[in-house]
Amino acid sequence: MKPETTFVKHDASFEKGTAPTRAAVPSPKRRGAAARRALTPYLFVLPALVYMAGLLAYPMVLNVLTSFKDVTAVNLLSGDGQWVGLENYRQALGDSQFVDAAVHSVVYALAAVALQLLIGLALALFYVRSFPGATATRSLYLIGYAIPIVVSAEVFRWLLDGRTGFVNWVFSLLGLQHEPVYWLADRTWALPAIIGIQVWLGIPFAMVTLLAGLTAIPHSLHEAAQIDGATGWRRFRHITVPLLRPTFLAAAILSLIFTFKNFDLIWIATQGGPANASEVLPTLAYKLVFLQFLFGKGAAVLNVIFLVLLVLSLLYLAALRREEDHAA
Amino acid sequence: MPPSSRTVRRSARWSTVVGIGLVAVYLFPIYWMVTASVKTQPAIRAVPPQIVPIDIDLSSWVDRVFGDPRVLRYIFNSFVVATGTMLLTLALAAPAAYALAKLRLRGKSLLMTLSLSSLMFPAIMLATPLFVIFGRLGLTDSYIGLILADTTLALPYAIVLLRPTFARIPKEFSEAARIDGCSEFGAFLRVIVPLARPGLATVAVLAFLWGWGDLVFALTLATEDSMRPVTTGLWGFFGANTSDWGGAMAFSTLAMLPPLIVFLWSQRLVVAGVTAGGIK
Repeated sequence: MKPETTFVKHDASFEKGTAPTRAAVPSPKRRGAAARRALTPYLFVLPALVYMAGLLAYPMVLNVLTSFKDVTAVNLLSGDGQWVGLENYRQALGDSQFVDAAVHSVVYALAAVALQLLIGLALALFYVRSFPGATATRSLYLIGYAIPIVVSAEVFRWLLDGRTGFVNWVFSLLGLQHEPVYWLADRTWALPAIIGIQVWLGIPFAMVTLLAGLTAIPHSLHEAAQIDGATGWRRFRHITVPLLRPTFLAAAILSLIFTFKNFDLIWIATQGGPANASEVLPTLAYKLVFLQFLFGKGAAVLNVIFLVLLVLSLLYLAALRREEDHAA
Repeated sequence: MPPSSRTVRRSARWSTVVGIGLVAVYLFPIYWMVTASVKTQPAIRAVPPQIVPIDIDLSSWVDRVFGDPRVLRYIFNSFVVATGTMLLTLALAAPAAYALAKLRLRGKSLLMTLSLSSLMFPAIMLATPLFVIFGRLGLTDSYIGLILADTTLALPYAIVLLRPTFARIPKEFSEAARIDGCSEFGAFLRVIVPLARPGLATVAVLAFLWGWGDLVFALTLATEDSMRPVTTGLWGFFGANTSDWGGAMAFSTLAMLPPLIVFLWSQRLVVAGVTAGGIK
């Protein structure tokens, strides 16, 4: 934030300094050139602005409008559905399906993010120390981030399969389980299994972000504390924890946003099944819109998702601002 | 008392062993997928599982993956869409982020707010309205439609990431180019863009990965089989009821390879992008 303000101020004083000479020679040709110069910056942002207005802002407005209309497959493309006020919201929110999906979404996002932050932090604390191969091994975790979620979900579908799945074999070897469990086809285990896969998907982001936060803590602080006789735990408690907090908070909120809106994993792993046992809001909205063609009701669910994400984003922006204030 | 250098060295060696062990456990699912794709059918079903394949059998690849001409089509489609998403994201984001960082214009905060708030837009929320809009414009089942849709995921992030990249470049560079007779845009293209290469490369890699991995827009905007990318292609072949895990793992390996190669080739850029808050 800081450098930009100084930049603008500096520029303004420069303008002021040259203004009189410009006024002294008022040639229309020059004024045209000046106008063109003033216009140029807008041409730089115009394509992105047009794109975002057309493909991000307008669709959002369309969604909100649709949620107040009775839109079906018949009048979808023409766009002339009847206004029905809050009827879609009443129907969507009053549905037990919606309540179940909302509960699943919250449980899934909170549990997965808590676990992936915990594991990510442990891994970051391990890999932040310098040992031969630390840098090479730690960035390999990002393979889990780089490959498509569809691929990871497909592999886990097999790992968690009841007949030939690797997980069942490990659990029975450890004596934790005597009968095969069809993890993703089991009403009790489908959601916990999805949470487990999500933790795997989220670990790279949590770990790499927290590693960057840990690396930014000046080494001299730890050394000074060590000379003063502080033990490892006390150094962690009084140096690492407070200085890592902003990064941790940002990573937590971004992970929550990402997890809450994740559709790909659930769709490939269970499609919300069995019998809605792992239905979350994004899969419910998809089914309402693209399988049942209840566009208004689907839009209502999507706007609820949007509201949750909006609150999370505002929290993220507030956290970012706090971090910047601390840095300044 | 400070630990002797020998104990330090020994503990460092143990750390290396544990560090490799942990990453091996983490990446086991990937290993399991790749090895399954070259196992025989009985080996895939074997209990206890065959950790290291004994007989190499390429029939999953030959019969299920390359035996079907549609698979190559899916791969080709994914390449077109991911590359297009990458190029469109760069073309839109770079000038906008540069103007936000360095040029005098009104409404900067509006564009920044728009970018920051669209970071959180789920693809699923845009899918319905885009389906309607593209339906009217005749852009469903087209590369352009998929590229336009996938860029919605990458563009806001690209602007947010590139703005500080451009802000760090001293303005003397563009001023010198202007004095040499370049236009503002000419100075940007010839002088600034080369200086911002690391940031632009990070955005390019992430946009490619996201374009390659997209499922939602592929599912909703490309219903015709010939327009499907690998993500929906994989799902169409080995959907909810499959028990052909050899074929599924071979196809998954194929769908994973391009992003994996891109990642291994540009690890540092991906780390930089993720650290800056880049999350799908």
